[in-house]
Amino acid sequence: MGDSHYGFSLTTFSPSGKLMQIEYALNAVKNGQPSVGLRAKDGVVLATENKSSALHEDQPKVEKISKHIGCVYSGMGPDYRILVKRARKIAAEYELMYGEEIPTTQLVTKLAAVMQEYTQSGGVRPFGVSLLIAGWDDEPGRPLLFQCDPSGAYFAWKATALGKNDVNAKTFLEKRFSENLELDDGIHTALLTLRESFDVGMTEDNVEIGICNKNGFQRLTKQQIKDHLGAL
Amino acid sequence: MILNVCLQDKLVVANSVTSVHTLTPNIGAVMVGMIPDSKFQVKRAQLEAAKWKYQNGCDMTADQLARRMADINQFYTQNAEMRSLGCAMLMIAYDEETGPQIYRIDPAGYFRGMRAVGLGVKQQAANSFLEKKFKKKSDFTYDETVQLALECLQSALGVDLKSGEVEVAVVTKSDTSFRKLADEAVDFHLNAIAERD
Repeated sequence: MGDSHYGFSLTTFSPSGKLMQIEYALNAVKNGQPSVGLRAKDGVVLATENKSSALHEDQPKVEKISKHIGCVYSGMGPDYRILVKRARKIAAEYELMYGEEIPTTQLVTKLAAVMQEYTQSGGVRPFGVSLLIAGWDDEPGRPLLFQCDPSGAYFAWKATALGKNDVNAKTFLEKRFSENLELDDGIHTALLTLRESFDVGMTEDNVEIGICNKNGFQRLTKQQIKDHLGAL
Repeated sequence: MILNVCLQDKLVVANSVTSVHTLTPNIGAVMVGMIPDSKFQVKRAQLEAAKWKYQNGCDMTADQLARRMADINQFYTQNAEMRSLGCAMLMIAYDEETGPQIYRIDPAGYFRGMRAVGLGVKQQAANSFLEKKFKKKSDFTYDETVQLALECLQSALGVDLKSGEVEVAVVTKSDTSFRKLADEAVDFHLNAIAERD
């Protein structure tokens, strides 16, 4: 990346055939704040812990990429910002070129390709985030949930969790998930899953939720989150 | 925004040593950390703000400038050719739409809007002090704000400050330009604190 003296990749193979930098990047994700994604029948839910002190202004982690696509992360915040910027640019360029909104799968493949570049290009390190991307494709009208890893690999999920305690969270989801969940039940289940990883009480001030359905992607307001927490 | 200045050498011209910098007429910053890196980052911030104004015809807002500086810092953490800078920046401005702003930008590329923050030596103590005060109330008048900041510094460092040892810089609703307070003004606030106790 750039004309530097670092024309060689910093991510190199170990004798066992692993790329240790990517393993370490995944460790950075594992130590990040927990986040959960769940695909319901009529939409997708993204939820994450967003703890901040009384001195901090609110800063969202769930971000909108295009009208029907949003994302959340676990891992390093600064790296996430760069990827969100890049994703928005990719989405805007697609719309300019083809006159319609970018399909979720296309965005995911392009963004994952960016993340892969940073594992093989000269003088750079991989991104220290895994992304959960939620989208709604109009034709056919269906919800989609994808995970993008620092390696550049991407997976489609029915439901998944990232960050601290992700193994337990995924086990919890496996038991609770069903194909017939509606979006509201999905939010309920996502919050229950997130609560398993919370050491303090979950309130509308330390949790963030985004939903994606045929009407587009939006973040829930504090009041809406409070109502959902009350119903737990 | 307050900074404690320690001068070791009596031969140094006192008012040439400062960590308070004007990035634009309405955005100011205080730098904590390595002095050469701080100067580099300030020059870069001034350049980014000026470039924005030249290219877009309007002033760069503090949150845009803070985000830009944080993204530059993130670049240094991800690319081999440059090391991260050994300095952190506290940026303040009074935005006509969103009101008073404080941004903390650190070498990790992390940037955060803050209601109050301490940075540098004894920052834990400073932040705990501020958290306690903010739990009780968060709407302070101008005088209360300046005095709270001075009190915080005094309490965290465990010393009584004199006006020659601190630099105080402000932005307000009535005058959004970034300016330093004169020694007499600082003395006024220090005395007000002393009289209260």
